[in-house]
Amino acid sequence: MGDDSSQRARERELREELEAHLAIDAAERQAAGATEEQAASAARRELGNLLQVEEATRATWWGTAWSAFWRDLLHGVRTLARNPSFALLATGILALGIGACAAVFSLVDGFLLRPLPYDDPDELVFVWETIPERGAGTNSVSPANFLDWRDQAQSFTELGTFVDGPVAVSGDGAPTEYAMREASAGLLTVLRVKPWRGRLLTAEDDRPGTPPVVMISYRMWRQRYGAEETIVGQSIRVDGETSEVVGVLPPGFYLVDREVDLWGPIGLDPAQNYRAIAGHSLTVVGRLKPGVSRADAHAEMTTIAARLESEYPDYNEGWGANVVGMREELVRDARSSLLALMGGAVFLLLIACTNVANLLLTRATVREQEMAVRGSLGANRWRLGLQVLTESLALAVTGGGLGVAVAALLVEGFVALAPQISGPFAVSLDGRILAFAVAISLATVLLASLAPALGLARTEANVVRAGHKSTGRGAERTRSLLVGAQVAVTVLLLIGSGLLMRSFVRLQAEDPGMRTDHLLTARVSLPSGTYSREQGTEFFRDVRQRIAALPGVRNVSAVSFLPYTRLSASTYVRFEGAAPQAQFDQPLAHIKAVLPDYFVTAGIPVLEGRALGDEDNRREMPLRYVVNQEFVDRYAEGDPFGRRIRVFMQDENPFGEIVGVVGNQRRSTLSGDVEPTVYFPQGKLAYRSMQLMIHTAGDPESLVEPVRAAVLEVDPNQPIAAVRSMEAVLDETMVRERILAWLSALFGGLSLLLAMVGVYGTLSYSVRQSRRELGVRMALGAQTMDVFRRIAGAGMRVVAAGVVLGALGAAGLTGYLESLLYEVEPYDAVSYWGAVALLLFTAALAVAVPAWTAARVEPAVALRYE
Amino acid sequence: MGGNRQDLLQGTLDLLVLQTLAWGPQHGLGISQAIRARSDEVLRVETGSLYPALHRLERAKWLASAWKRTDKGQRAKYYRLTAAGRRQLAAEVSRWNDVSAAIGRILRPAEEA
Repeated sequence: MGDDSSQRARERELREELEAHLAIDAAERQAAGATEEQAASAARRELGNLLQVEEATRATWWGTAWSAFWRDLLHGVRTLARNPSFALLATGILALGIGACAAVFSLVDGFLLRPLPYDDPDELVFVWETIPERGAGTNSVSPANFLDWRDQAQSFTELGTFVDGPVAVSGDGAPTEYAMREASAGLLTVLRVKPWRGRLLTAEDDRPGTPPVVMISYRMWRQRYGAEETIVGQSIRVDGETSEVVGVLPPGFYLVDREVDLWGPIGLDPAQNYRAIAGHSLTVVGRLKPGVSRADAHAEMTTIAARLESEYPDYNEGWGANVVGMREELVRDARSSLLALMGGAVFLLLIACTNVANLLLTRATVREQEMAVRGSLGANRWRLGLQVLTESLALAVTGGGLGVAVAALLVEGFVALAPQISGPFAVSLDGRILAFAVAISLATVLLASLAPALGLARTEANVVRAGHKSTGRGAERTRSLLVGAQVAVTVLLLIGSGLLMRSFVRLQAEDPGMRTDHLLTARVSLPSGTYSREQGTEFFRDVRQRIAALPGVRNVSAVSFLPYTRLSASTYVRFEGAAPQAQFDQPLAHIKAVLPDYFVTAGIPVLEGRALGDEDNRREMPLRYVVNQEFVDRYAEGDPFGRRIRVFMQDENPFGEIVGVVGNQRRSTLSGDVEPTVYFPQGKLAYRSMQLMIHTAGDPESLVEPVRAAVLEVDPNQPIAAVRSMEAVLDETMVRERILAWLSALFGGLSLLLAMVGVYGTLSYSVRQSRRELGVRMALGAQTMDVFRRIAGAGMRVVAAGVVLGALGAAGLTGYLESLLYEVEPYDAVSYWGAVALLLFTAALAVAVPAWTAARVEPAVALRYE
Repeated sequence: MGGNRQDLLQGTLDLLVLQTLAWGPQHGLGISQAIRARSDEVLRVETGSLYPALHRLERAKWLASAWKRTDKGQRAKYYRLTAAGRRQLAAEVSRWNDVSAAIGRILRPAEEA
């Protein structure tokens, strides 16, 4: 291809060759009698148009049109390199727009569009139980109903079910907690997964009395067992029980939760009457038969549920069924956030493109003069136009390249910041999307340069003659329009980001109802095989004592379900002496088992009565409850004391006295509902899996290892898991709001920057163009302030138009944000006025500078400028 | 510059240039003058066609160039035929003869009639 310097050398040589031609010709004519002047001009005439000859000859240096294209591209790059500030600005702007757009679209693609990693994923559905009366549409399924469904349903090739829980794997390494899934054999069939090693679980393994078996994930196989081939057939200790590893699942395989490492048989026995012993805890997945639609399946399941209702009125009355597409279910939470982000990114891209277009238009008109001169001297007009186009191409390609880097960074950042949102999905930067975004900016850039390029191709010689003013009113109007559009879109983005940020701040300001600082949490799940209920309570008492003795610990307790996580158990409550009610009218409450001193450790205020203490924890003591304020408000008509309630949690549910009322926490997020809660002493409701709560004097993280050690002292096989501070727990509930707030602020800030650059640049440029006119005005007596006001007024008029348009647009669009906002109206005055004020303020600055500079120019200088 | 005219004549021009240089190395002006002279002023080659041809032929390695001085002492870029160029010239001459003979055969019956 030839590099830059050799190219220039060849051009120089060609020029010399042609000049030599002229010299020799002239010398010959002179020798034949002509004067020097005559000879020279005759020789020139004979040669013809020097530039054209050069162009034609140069064209032969590159045999094909493709090489010519490359050369023009390089030339374009060189020209850009000569104006680094323009190139940097334009490239940077493009990169931002492309990067943001590509990143967001990749996220959207990963979540909403890309197929799930199973065969024929559109056939996969979740089947839930429902309580139509309460509006619950996705309730966990009871084993009894699952078995009946499996027998009766015709719409599915297979139905599978599972429930997850923590287990401790020990014996062959450090005791570690893993997430284990108990699944029916049908589940793996539904997913059509093939084992990586060994075999899948079969229906045989589900039968009662068969030896326990387990499949492990590929990740666990590598990390814990070093990917040894001998793993199949090996026995491992799971929750104290020996299980044989019969297979390894393929790399990357998961269902809903990526963290599950062990799959074991759920062991549902069709002969058992689960209606007597179990509640609703399972998740059911099915694969639709070919030709059966989700709606068909839904109709069938509703019929089956109705049939079960009449067959088992005590258990099934009021319960229905629901069939939901798998993807639909999984994206439910993320959909609106993603769409909002997508809107923001598209707007940003629009602004970036219009900004670059404006830059190019401005620059093109500046070069029109140069191009006109070259054109009238005979340089090929189409080639000139092509050169301008290829400059733009170089710009678009560089901008696109940078945009790739920006997009990759943004996607990485998102996945790192929000693993639980992106968890089930493979989110990565998609080549197609990048290509799309680059294509958009390419199109914009080319379009923006096409107008002047076409104008160049048709440049008339009289443009040169006319002198300096080659910019028409048309170009001026286009630029103003573009700037106005940018301002409008910026206002829109700023308003949206204002709403989202206020929402986030409001959310953070909510009172959690408990302590969040200096609180460490850790989960301890005791294996059922090793610990009886009494032993479990003993264990927790021991652990509590040891941890309390650690330096830096102010208080220690435990609770079965941590507040502000999505885990909970709930059941019906009956007051002593109350009239019997229909099942769904009975009071429903969340149930938590706590160790003594829970409320003081967690910073939950005791509003009335007392908390549960060591005494209440003893098995032989009468059952005593503490309830939260919401329970009292909803069910106890203000006076709970002395009332006895019965909570349907276990085989025997005696009445127990309410001894205290404590403050409320929200259920799972700061924006969630407050649920009535009943607290049991752990000694009476012996949960095996408890969340330790440790109130620390210093940094909670500093006590992680001492706590772990204390637990190991009591049982060397017992791991702790999910160790994190309460602050981290709460932060995790606000990830979505935080991301939305930050990203929208980023988009808003960037677009403000770009729009203001546009305002400033356009105004500066038009001021430069009309310098002569200004000079005349000033010479005729216009005052500095008049000129300033005139220019600034013109600038602000465009801005104002943009603001109005943007605000109107926002009024129309922010309704869509409603689902994402917390305690903030879509028409929140503060956000609207704040955005407008911010924009007007920065615009005033952007306008004032060129206006002031222009106003202070000496009339004489202005008039001299040509 | 007419496009069509140039395409048709390009092959012929190459032939003329190669043949001219077969008589000795020459610079661009000299070649154009030689063609004019030898064709009795019938064929005039525009520099806009000649120089592209020279550069193209040089690219094809049928010509080689060097900067020398004319007898008047002026600097000029001289072109000469390479060995490959001589072979190409022979081939082109042969083809030209075939083509013109064929055209002649087509034209002759019209004269006879």
